[in-house]
Amino acid sequence: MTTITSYVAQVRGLLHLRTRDADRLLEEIEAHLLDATDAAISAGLTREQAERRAVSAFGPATAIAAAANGGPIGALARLTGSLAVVGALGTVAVALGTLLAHGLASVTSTRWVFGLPPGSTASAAQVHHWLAVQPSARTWQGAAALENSDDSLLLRGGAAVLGLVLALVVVAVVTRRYRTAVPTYLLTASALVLGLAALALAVSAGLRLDALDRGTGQAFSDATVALIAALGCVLVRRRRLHAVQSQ
Amino acid sequence: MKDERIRGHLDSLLLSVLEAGPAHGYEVLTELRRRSGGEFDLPEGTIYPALHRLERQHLLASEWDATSGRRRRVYRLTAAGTKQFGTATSEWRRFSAGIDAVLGGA
Repeated sequence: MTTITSYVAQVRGLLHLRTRDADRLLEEIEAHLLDATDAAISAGLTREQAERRAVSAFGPATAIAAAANGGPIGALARLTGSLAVVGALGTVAVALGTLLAHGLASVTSTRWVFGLPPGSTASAAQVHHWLAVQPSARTWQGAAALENSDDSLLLRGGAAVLGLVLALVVVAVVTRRYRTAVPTYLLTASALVLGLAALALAVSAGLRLDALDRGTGQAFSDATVALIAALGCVLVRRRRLHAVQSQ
Repeated sequence: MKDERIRGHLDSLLLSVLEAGPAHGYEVLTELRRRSGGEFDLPEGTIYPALHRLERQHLLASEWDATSGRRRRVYRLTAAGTKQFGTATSEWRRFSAGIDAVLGGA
């Protein structure tokens, strides 16, 4: 490894930019150092001396990377942007979980997907409310399942759309100035949280312990989407690490 | 000259060099050093984050060029960059004239 390639690798390790932005900067740095080396060789230095002088004149790798990363404000903006990206993916997962649950209800039953666990009790006021808003239901359990189904579309779907819009606005504002990639540690944390959530939801649905009274099918749908999202995070993380190792 | 003082004016200096015509980073730095008679001797790598920032502000545009064998990013002033350079130059001339007047009168 030459002095220049070693220096470029050092800067790469310190950058927190998107891969294509980092690649562009590093290619510019390398071309600059090679031009400076050529000029120094023309002035009578050996290649090794010329490379060392070029790297020294370019400045410490830490300072160059810090300037490219945008300093402390850049770091904060990038963290905010990355959290917003993760939040956006979370809202998409909630929306997909909702749609999957409704698809599941159409091939199984609304009661299994959205109904209360067997043996559940409800106050007279709740029973009255459910039967009033779901007049087509023949039992209060059926009315509760229909009401949960409607609420899931309205509340979960609506919250997911609003959350997604908000997250995308934050991402757009941040990335206008600080383009970034979601850091590896955040991908790891997201995979862990989503994986644990998938496990908890599946166990809760399997044992019919759902504390949120959302129904067995809804919990299974959420668990499936959470598991897929966790696997997605793991795959992106693996690709990222593989790309860094192959540099 | 102290790095901090140059950094405060780095954007204007870069715009000034590129106002003469498109150039890649190494050429910009060489020209900056030549015009300043070696007075502006900042760490060379600091110009790249500055060039990228000016590009994000649409004051510069850039594209890859490999006509001389080595791929280099060549920067040029945009219309907004030319306007900004004019404004910065006028402001600096007023400011330096004021400083000169005060120092000259001391």
